[in-house]
This record gives sequence, structure tokens and C-alpha cells, in this order.
Amino acid sequence: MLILRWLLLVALRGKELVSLAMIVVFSLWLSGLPEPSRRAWRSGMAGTILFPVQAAVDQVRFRVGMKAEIARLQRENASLMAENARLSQLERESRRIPSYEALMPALPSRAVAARVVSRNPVRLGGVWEIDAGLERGFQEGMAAATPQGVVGRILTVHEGRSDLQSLLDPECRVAVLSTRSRNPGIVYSPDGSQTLLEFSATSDIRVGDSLVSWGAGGTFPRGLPVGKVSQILKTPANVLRTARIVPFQDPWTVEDLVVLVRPPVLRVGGGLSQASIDSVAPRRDTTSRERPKL
Amino acid sequence: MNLTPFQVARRVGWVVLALLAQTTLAPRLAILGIQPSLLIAVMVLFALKMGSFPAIWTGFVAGLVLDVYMPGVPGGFSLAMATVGWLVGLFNEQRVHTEYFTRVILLGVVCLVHDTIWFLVGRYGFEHLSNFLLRTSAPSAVYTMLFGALLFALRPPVRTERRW
Repeated sequence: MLILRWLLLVALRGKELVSLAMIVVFSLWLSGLPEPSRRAWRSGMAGTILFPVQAAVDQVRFRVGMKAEIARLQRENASLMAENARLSQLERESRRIPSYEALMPALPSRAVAARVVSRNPVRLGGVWEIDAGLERGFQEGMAAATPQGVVGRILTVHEGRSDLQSLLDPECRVAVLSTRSRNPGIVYSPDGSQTLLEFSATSDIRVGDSLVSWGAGGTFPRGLPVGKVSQILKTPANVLRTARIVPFQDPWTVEDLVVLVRPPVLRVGGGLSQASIDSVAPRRDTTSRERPKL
Repeated sequence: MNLTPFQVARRVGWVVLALLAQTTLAPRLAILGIQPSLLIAVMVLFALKMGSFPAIWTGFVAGLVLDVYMPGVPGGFSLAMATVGWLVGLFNEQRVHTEYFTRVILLGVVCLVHDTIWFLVGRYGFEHLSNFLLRTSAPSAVYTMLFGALLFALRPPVRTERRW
């Protein structure tokens, strides 16, 4: 027992030497093994130590590689998505081109295409900005339409852009006719969320009637599709009646339109337009841009 | 010496990295077939910082991996690396202050000791030992010393006072 305790103390005190001695014994035993045993030892060690380490290193390398690959694919995906969005936009526009081409001959004047850039949220979406203006010959009051129907009129014109008053604007009024009975009415939007038709109590307007622009006032040419009567509202007044209509062109989905480059007879908000005044005024001073007092 | 587990793991990690470099990078650094022993250089630094006992076992494990990996008689690398760890560990920087050039020379000496042990354990023939040392081991030791000189310059001793 005493001898064992002494050996243990020596071992603990000289642990380096004990360790080295153990290693010497092990290494000499290992090097003295016959060749088949060495091979077995090697394959066993490789299987238990090297292969798992190599698998772990491979895993790390794989994960790092995957990370780089994912980052590359994300970049590629972003650029492809951008390209896809651009091509989709082009495809949508090219799909609309035939319908515009079919519309052009039916229009009473030259028409110029424009894109809707934004909608004014303050005016309940009733006023839009389009990407063309003075440089295309636009003037205040010109009618705007799509192949589906009337969308509004030019409110103000600037260089490179214009404000367009859509049918959703509470201040926009369009004189219309029923295609069935040829009875007139006025289309307007009281709050920007619905489109109504006001017509005389004696007019023959029914649910399902299609409405086209009448041409009264000179802003909208006669015959442009406007909407369809969906419901006759019960109103207490005996003189005028009101109907709810569904516009042929949903105002919220308009992306591009054509503006009829035709001087309107009336200004937006009342009064004669500048073109009308110019056409009737004596041509004494053609350079003067002063508006004659009415 | 009070070291945190992270510090110990970091130092052992350097040895593992050196082991990987020895098997992958060293053959590419060979000049006329003479390779530097990156593992011995890092092991010397490890033993100088950690002492004999950790260096013996770290060297043994690293040598064992080399025994598995390298062809030839197994056991040579493990015994040689453990001996290198023990020898250099005697110059632990916590006990003995070793100058920069002493360390470089120590590295060259232990390279020769390592190769001698490996040669003897491998039973390659005692009569060829001098030829092996002169033609292969000494140039490799010089190359390793150059590498070690750079390594020791980058990792000088942290403290120089003796603690005994």
C-alpha cells in the first residue's frame, strides 16, 4: 500500500515524465506492430478521428460555400426580379397597344398617349399626374380616355407633366346620353368613392343602360363610352333622379391613357377656353398673350 | 499559469491550424524537395507558452494524427512530437527567459531531435541516420528556423520575469 502511494506521489509530481514514458511505450509498441496490424490501426484511427474531422471541415466549407452561393443567388434573384418587373410592364403595355390602335380612328381628333405617374391622395384620388404636358400640345380642359372609356380631363398643364381631373373628382361633371333612349344626364362623383348619374325625372333611364359622352360643353367629344347604370336610387325630389353607375374604365386601374389634343370650348371651372377666344378674336396682335376681358 | 478555457482552446487551435497547414501548405512551400516543419515551429511556441505537460500531450495527439495521415511506420511522429513538447516545455517562458535568437536556435535543435527520433522509431537503419540528418533534416531545420524567426518575431514572450 505504501509502495502504491509512493508511486502515485511520484507520478503526480513528475507527471511530465510519466506522460512521456507512457507515450514512449505506446509509440514503440505501435511501431513494432506487424504490417497488417498497422494497416488495421491506421484505418481504424482514420475512421474514428480523421474522417469525422474531415467531415466537420467539409461541413464548414460547405456551409461557407453555401452562404456565398446564397448571397450570389440573392443578388442574381434581385436583378432577375427587376428585369422581370420591367419586362412585365413592357408586356402589359404592349398588350394594351392594339386596343389603343383600335381606339385612335374612332376619336374625333389627334390623340397623344401619356402615363399616369401618381394620384393626389388629398383629392381622394380624383386628381392624377400624367407624364406629358405643354411639350405635347396639351391644354387645360382636353379630354382623356382609355379604350374602355372616359377617364377625365386636363386640369393644369406644365412642362413635362399635367394634372388630370378624373371622374372620381367631386368637381368633375360629364354630360352623358343613354345609348338606348338617347336621354341625357350628368355623371359626377359626390365623394370620390362612387359615381352617380343625375337625370331628369322625365328621362327614360333604366338599370343596364350604357352611357356615352354627350358632347355638351365641348370638353368630351360625343360618343365616348362612360359607364353603365347599375342602380336607380330612390330620391325624394320630383324633378331630378339619381342612379349609381359603374364606369367602363375603373379609375383606380388606369396606367396609361390618351389625351385628345383638341382645344376645348369651355375652361375647366367655367368660361371660354383660350383657344376658343383666339379663334373668334380679331387677329390684330397675334403676339399678345393677354386674355380679353369678357 | 492561470489561463481561461478560451485561451487554452485558442492556443490548441493554433496547433491544429499548423497541423492542417503542415499537410496542405508545407508541400507547396518546398524548395528542392525540402519542406519547412510548420507544425514544429508552432509547437515550439506553444510549449514555450504553456509548459511541458500540455505540450507533451498536444504534441502526442498532433503526432498521432500525422502517423495516421503519413505513410511509413506509425508511432514515430507521436513520440517525436511529444518529446519536442517535453524538451521545449522545459524552457517555459513562465520559468525561463529565452531570447529571440535562443528560441530560433532551440527550434533548429528540436527539429533535428524530432527527425532523429522519427528516423529511429521508423527503423530506417542506424547507418543511414547521419546521411539523413545532413541531407534532409538539416536543410529542413534551417528552413523551419527561417519560418520560426518570422513567427517568433510576431509572437514575442508576453512576460519576461522569472516566476520561481
